[in-house]
Amino acid sequence: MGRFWEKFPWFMLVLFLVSVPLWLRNEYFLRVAVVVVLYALLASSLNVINGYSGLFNIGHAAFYCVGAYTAAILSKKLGLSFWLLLPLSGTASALLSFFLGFPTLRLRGIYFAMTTLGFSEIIRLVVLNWTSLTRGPMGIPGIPFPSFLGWQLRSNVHFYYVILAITALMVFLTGRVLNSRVGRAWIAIREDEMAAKAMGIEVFKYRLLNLAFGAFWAGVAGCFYAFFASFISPDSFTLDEGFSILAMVILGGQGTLVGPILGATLLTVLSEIFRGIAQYRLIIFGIAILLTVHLRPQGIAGNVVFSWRRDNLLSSKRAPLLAEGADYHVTPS
Amino acid sequence: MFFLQQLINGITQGSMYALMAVGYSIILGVVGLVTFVHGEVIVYGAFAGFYALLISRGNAFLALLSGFAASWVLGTVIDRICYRPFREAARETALIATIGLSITLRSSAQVIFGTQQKFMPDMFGNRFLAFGEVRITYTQLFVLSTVMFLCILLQQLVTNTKFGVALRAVSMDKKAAALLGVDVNRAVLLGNALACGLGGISGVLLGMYYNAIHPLMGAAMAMKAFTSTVFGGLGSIAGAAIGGFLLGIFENFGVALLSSGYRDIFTFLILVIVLLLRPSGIMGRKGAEL
Amino acid sequence: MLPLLETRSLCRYFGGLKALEKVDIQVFDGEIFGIIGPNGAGKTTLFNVITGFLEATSGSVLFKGKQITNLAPERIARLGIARTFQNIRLFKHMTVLENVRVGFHIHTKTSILDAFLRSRTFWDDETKTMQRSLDILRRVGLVEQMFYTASSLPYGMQRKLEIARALASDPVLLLLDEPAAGMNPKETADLVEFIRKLNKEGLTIMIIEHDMKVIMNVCHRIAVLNYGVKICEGTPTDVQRNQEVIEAYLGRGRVSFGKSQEGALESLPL
Repeated sequence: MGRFWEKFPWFMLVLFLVSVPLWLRNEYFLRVAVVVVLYALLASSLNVINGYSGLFNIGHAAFYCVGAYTAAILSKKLGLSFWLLLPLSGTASALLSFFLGFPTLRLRGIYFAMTTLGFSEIIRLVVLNWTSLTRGPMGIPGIPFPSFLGWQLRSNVHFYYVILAITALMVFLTGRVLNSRVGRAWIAIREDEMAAKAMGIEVFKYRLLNLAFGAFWAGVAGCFYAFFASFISPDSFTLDEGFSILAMVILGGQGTLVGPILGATLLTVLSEIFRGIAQYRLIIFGIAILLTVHLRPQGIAGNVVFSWRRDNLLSSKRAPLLAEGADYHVTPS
Repeated sequence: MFFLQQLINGITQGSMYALMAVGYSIILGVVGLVTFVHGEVIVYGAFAGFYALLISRGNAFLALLSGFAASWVLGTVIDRICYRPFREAARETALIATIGLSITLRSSAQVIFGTQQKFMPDMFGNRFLAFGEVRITYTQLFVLSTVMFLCILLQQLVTNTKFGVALRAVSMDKKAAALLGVDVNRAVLLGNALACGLGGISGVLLGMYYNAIHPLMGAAMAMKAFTSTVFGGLGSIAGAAIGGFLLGIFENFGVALLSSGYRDIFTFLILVIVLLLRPSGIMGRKGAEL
Repeated sequence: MLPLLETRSLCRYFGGLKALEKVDIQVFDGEIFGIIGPNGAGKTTLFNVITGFLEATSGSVLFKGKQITNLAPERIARLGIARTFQNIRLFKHMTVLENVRVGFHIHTKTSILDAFLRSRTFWDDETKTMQRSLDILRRVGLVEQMFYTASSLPYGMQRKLEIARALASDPVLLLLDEPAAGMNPKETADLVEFIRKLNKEGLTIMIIEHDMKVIMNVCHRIAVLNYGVKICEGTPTDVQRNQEVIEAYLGRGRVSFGKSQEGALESLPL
């Protein structure tokens, strides 16, 4: 029973999210809902990197971009299906992350951070200039709608359930990783790199793994975006995009599972409400970061009970080592 | 000779990068942080200079002064928002603050200055000195001499004035400096403002050299400053300057051989190569990066 | 007999500063070996070089007869050398239990795939680390605080936790850097008992300490460093009587000869 109550908030959340299209009938709002969940995925993927191994990535747009373009190009040139392209795009981004990580992750975190800034721009520039592959500034139009068991997925509701499933899977898997030796190693590295090394944790390898995991899901998000929007261009993947995602993570709370979801929801909805003053959007995001850092540095969800960082062993049937009812969790940073 | 011409172009360009990198490096030393906001400081300085040129109808010195002043003021604001409140807090907090501020400034720049480039007229009417096939434009001479002058001034300031000594003390050990009577907060504030002022001047010079400035160029400039500093060796101001010059030279040759669309990609490649081969930079001690 | 750990002519310079100068030390299996010296003598630097956190400028470190000089700290940990730090380096936001569990990293092998699939390997590792962590916590006396966040513990317990975590990696050699710092006399006495117990169970221990009661009571042999140079090595009694050592701590001209000399070091207010 204990296990159920621990996960109860998540069940409620998932139930709520699944029910949304049943009562939200407006097409515009449904579209917003899709975008919200998409950004929840992006923010969560960035959060894995920023919140769990002491790294700081401000160029997440690069992985998003590569995923989207991989999907678009392979879909149009080879006709590959959406479902195959999801993991493929993720893998492409993950592979790219090795190029970023290899020279920088052995060094201090600041090298990595600044390099991600340049990296993001470079990817965009490459995409912009490699016109034979990407059609440059004109972008890639006409990406077909995905199909599922014969059905063509074209409405907002269809896309909503797809992205919801993907994001739920990601959060689920991330939770599993965090509650394992790998996740503990990541957090140890975040907390104190020297001590982690002294425990025999290969910091470099685990950081690469962490980066690849975060990049993978950003790539998957990119693939989804390509099919959802049917058209992509370098304009969707500017530095500003990466900054927006970063703002969502910081506002929502780094290092927690629910934080980035909250942050994504808040800022995406805010952007939609203030659509008319779109050029001020990023100004508001920047100020949001500043306010968060000054007033509540752990973000909204910092220290919230919701954290998945609970050792499931307590309520596991396989290792009944402690009395039921003992409650504990890590306070996320 | 082609080679000599490119060298001159590269050195001139490098001098601007050197100025950016020196400012960046000072902040690194005095504040103790890698700042993400220097790019925007350069942008705002550049635009201040632009408007000054407009108003004064071509007074270069006024432009430089305006750039310096605007960025100086911005520097004090940055200190208030990002550095001072987090002196005792975790490093990450201040870094995130600088990112937040940089995002705000960057987007504000677009709103304030519009989203298009602004053109700056050639200060010296395209005149140049010729040595055989090699040309040095008056603009290039101006840029070079300005940077030289500022470097000498800075050198004097750092070694021969009380302020300079305070800066050096603060960059080595804040607590010790405080114990010796240095007003650390003031030193950091002024040091940062000075460094930002230099950044502002480099922005104006950039505008004069390229005849155009763009509100979104901050990120690219921040990368130039960072790459120069890493190239020359974190922790060495002279190194940062040398890194800037070298970056300018390499970039110019690369662009001359390939195409200018790849300029920034070139910078990034240099950064990656340096990080792979010798992360401590040219002047840095081995192991200094860890 | 082959020493378990040996340094040969070990040097570490920081620019012009000779933090370690031709240090020769031999630690034998099963002993408790102390390292003492005034502040700044190079004791922690020695630990850092041995455990791979600092590069040796010259000289070598041998463990079980094999070169380990300049190996990465991660590899040295895997070889069976564990350590604690002078400024406690706990994983602040993790619980006591989780801190110890991290210590088992090198003895477990769950990969990310195992984590996704909750495979057999995963459950084996989790059970194993859980049981052994509890064991260690019992030994150290921190079971009650198992779910407390590490940073919320009082100082003395934090030190114990650091030792517990180091023990989790099941080392052959344990390096303790000022484990008694900040402890009251009762805690110090407990610590001495604990170190003795660990040693009886077969653990070789090297310990840096300023608290002379601890060092003199618990160590089989001691090395004394001053300005990076080893000025004495021997049993506690030898060290206490050594002229150079006394001068290093007390300076010249202030030493009284005769009977009180034996107690000179023990009575130092360090």
